[in-house]
Amino acid sequence: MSERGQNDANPGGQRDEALRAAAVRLSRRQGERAAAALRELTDPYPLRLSDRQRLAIERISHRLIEEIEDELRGAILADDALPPNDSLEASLGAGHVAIAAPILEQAGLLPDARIVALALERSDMHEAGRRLREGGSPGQRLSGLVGEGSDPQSSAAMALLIAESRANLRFEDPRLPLGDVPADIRESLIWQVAAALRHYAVERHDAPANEIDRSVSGAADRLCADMREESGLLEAAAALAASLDAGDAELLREALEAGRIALYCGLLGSAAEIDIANVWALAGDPDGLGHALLLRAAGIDRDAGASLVMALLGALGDDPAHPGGAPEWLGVWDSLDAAGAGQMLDHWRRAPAYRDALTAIGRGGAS
Amino acid sequence: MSGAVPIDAPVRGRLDAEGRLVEADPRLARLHRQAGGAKDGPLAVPQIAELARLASRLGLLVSRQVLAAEGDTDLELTVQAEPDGDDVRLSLSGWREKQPYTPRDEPEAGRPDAYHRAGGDWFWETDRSLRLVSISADARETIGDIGRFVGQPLTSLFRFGDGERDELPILRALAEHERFERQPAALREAPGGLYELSGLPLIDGRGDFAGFRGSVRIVEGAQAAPDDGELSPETIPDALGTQLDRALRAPIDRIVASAESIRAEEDGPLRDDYAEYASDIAQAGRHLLALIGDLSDLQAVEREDFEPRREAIDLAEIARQAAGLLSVRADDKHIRVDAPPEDESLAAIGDYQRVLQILVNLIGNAVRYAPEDSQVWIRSEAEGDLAAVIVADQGRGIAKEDQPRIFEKFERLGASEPGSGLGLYISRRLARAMGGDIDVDSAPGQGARFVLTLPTGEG
Repeated sequence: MSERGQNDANPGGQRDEALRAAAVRLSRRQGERAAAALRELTDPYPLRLSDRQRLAIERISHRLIEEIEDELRGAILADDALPPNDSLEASLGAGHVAIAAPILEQAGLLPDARIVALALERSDMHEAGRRLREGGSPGQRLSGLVGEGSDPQSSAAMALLIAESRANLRFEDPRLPLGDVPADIRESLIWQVAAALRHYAVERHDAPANEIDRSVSGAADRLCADMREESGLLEAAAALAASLDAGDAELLREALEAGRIALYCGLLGSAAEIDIANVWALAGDPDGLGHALLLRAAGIDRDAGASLVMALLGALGDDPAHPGGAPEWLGVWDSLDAAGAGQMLDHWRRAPAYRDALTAIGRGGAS
Repeated sequence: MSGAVPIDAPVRGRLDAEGRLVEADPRLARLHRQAGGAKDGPLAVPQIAELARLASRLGLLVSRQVLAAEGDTDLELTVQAEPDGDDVRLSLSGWREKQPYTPRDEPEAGRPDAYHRAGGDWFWETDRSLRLVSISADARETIGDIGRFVGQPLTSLFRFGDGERDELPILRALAEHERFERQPAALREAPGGLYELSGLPLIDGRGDFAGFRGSVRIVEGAQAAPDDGELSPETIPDALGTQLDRALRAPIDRIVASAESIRAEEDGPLRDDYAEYASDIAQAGRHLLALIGDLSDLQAVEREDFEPRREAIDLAEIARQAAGLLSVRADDKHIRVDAPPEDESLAAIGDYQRVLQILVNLIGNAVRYAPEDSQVWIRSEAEGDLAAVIVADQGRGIAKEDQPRIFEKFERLGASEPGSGLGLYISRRLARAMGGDIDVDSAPGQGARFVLTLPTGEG
């Protein structure tokens, strides 16, 4: 008797098989949940994502893909040289229909670790800034920078204001505009979204592959070129910081109290001779050690430095049971001079790829 | 795509207390002229003028990005407006030229129309749950205010009929995720006309069905949307309710829609209390919308020359429609609404939309005040030259001395009672304007029976 004949003759056997399969799935799922719970419990507390961070990362990541996708979908729809395809046009033109993200997720290209890192950093900077602004003041000297002058400093101050406003959504949610993403990551994303749209058009809507290739790659090329002209939040902050006395503790205090985290990072990076892109990783250290090293290397005096570290720790701290290890960073401060602190930061002055490789090989750190 | 035309220094200007541009750097002066402004006249770039008024009103420096038109291009500007005595100082920066925005769903010049546009009078789009996400502006002529349908099921706008093979083309298309054509339909709120819907399925990146995008073709007898020209600002000097309605409804609709999407965790999981906050926001927004609607209606019904339409209507059918509109609310409280049977009809003379409004109010009140797991009855009957709809509930009832009060303006039986206190007042005025009335029969602990009567037109 064929297998089908056997099954037909033994419906009870089919049911038993289905029940067994369901039991195996249930058991596996229970095991997976327990493993995930164990991982979360054993992760050091500061490394665990809060609900806010999780949501912000997801939202920032999705919006970034959407921003690229909107541009490319619009370009395809506007391409007169493509043969008409009403089903493709309908779906491309429907803003609520997600196309690129599901394809990239299925291909394992999303979530992208680089984007998650950028989104986490942006989310944390934004949240720290928000908390600092609640208790702080706008700052006289910094507010006056935009003022009456037509010099490069006023322009740089205005450019930073523009970049800061672009980094916020209408309800003060953090945003990572495409222009704020490092160029190499940005262009990689643009081409990934282009590839996803190409796949969608050809596979789902039978669009001619060569025509779609021409259209979508032309649009991606143009978008990459346009974005090269943009400068993001960190560039704007670094440009303004370069025109100011970065080692001025009072200016640092004003920037921090006003919640202008990017500018604070720019000033600190300029004074400690660390690229602004690496400053938050240090300043945002929940134990305060990285921040203390930066300030020490920048030549800030002990009292002013301690005040800045405590202010930012207060804005970073989520859990009162983990106050941030104040004694350790203060001890390090007292044991190092500015030059010593600067040497400890040498690792952060290396080229990013070199630094990452050293870290991976396990021989990174101050040496 | 955008072309970056950076400018090194901010461009300055100054507005006086009357909003006139009294000082301007050359580039700002040119922008003002191109927008049609006169020398020393009111600033002609509305987005910047609005920002200046805001800064003046708040007494604070305000900074925003705006998009202004300069000739054939759009200009992205960052504008700072700072009060200076009675004046406002302006500082403009950014000055990025962008190609004018062309909405994605508009056909490009010279490009053949997509199939579903070829014979359409207006267009619509839904999500995968067949809730409307957009309706083209042309639809206003037929359905009036589009905003109230966005976010609602497609079936809230249309009633569908059988197609050529005694089936619903849209239903088959929904099952198969394919296109459909010539789906007969009638508007729920204006059942006199016949329409045909066509649609294309929307497919997302996973290959899953994501909704329909389609067109509506008017086949015959379509009625224009209720003419609210009598309430337009051009004809009525102070149609405050209408202006408030138009100014407030759209932004509050967006608040409610956003809050609902947060509550539904569409962007990902949320803490329970955040989802609750979102639910509170949505509820408050809906309350505001109801209040806006009530205020607008109040102004209309209190006008001396207010005259509802007189047309032949089927009271039983309208009662069934009103019950249908409130079915979700009733289900939430496990209340069974016993509406007139499908084969029942009751002829009357009245304004279809206003009668529907009255019955939604009466049935809505019944559902609101009825206890959970109870019943609401809706009966229709003829009484001589009057047609009556009775709405009965099993709520706590209304004392005799309170019964006249409930029909007065802004009266509620208790401070904690929901609503604006205008519903029954407006409903009774509407009924009386149509030659009918609304009465109540109730006693404490015995529920309430509200009776809407309208002339049958006979005798």
